[in-house]
Amino acid sequence: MRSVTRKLAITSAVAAAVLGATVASNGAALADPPAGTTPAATDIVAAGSDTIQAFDNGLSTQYNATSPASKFYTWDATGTSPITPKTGATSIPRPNGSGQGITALNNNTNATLDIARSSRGPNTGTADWFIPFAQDAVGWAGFTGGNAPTDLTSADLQGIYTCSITNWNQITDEPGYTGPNATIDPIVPQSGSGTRSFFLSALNITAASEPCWNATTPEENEGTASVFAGDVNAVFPYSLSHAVGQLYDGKGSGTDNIGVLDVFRSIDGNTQIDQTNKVWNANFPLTYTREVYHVVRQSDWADATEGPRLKALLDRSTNGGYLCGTAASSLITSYGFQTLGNACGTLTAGQ
Amino acid sequence: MNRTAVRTVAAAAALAATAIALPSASATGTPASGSVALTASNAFLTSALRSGIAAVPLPTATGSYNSATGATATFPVTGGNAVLARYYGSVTLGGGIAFADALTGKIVCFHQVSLSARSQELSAVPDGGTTPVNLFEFGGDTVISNIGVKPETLTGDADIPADGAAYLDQALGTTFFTANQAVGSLSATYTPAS
Repeated sequence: MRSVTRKLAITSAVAAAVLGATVASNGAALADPPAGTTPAATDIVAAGSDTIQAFDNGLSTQYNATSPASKFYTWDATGTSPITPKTGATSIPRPNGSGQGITALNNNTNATLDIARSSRGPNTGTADWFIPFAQDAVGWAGFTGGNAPTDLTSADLQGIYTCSITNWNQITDEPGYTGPNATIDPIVPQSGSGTRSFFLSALNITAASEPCWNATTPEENEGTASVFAGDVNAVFPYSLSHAVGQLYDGKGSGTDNIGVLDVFRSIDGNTQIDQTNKVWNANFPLTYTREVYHVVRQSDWADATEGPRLKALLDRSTNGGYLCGTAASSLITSYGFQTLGNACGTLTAGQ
Repeated sequence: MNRTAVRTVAAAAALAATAIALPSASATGTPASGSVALTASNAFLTSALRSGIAAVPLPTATGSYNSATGATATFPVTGGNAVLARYYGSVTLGGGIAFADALTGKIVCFHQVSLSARSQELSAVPDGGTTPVNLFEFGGDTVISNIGVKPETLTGDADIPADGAAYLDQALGTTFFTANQAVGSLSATYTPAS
């Protein structure tokens, strides 16, 4: 098993190098509204999740090229803060992650923010509509060539993130794997990350922190973070769609890359990445898959002025929504996500 | 009621009388429960009747009419593995539906009704066939209950998808049905077996 792990690690490293060159040749993805562009008060602007920010940057470019009445702009999860999202808006701290995006949405009006990007599902409430457009899966990444096995069971992951399993030699349920005597380094993304909350929830972990977790909480889906450098014992939750986009579709740039980590792993024997078809495993357990959303205020959706602006972008295909139509489906898959078909644009109440 | 409408209603009544009830599902534990209700608006009904077309539910589906909202066919849940709020799996439904055209005299009956959570389409197999036809789909303004809520609910507008429209027109010899044709509303309530 170790030799298999090593082969995979080498393959990953080679693939990463090739992909790095691909990304460089494609140029960096746009981040925030383009330089020199201040969104108009009548434009729609989004902020929040890191997981879908690269997709939304691509969506912004493609959608605005259709010359809609209200253009769509999106603010990345990280960068200078505070931000003034559009003309006439209140200056707000830059929302970093789904939770902060939704909070910012609900603490402001559409004069400041129209949409929160979210990779977590709705909590109980009626303030907002959660509108899914694609599916993602969340798996785990380990240091390329490090001490982690290729497979971890759900019980292993739960033990690692609840600190009942702290050493690789405690992993005894993986055939052919003899873990070295080395301390596991469980790392979680930044507070407010939808990927963080989803992953922990999937493992039935409700604690906000655990003593064995690394104190550093890097940006989600960025294996380039300094905390991973040389950390052969790292374990880190990772959006598999984001990884596919980074690995195969040239959608990573700068720090937004897989870095020293690899996601060619499995959970309970379920392979995370279909390397042949360059997608995440469509049969990955439901527990580890999730919908990704744009979140809007219910009052805005029903508003005679704001509603049509939002619906032109987010509504179901039968209502003419751009994101759920055929023009956007190839964009969705090009970022590693899997399409929702006719279910795209379904409304779920929450907040 | 004009002559076409009378003939249509008569055809519908004949269909209902000859329909065969499906055996009830047996299960251990608590079986899946709920229903899917398809309501055809009065506007759709009027348009269909003027074209000589009528549709009736077949047992164990049931029918009702409300002058304010239109005609409703209700299909009982018989099973399924769906998680509606996760857009996963499907719900199997009892009963069937028959379409008749009074002008061409053609009738087509469907059974093995199911609801796909992912495509949000109501499909059924034509009698004598094996391939399901997507007859109706959730259209605009579709709202789904939150993950974990029981029973799960899915409500929205009802449309006829392009493939369903093409099949019905071919089977009935009509040109009435069109892609994304507004029918009325769809409402699903589902509690999985436990």
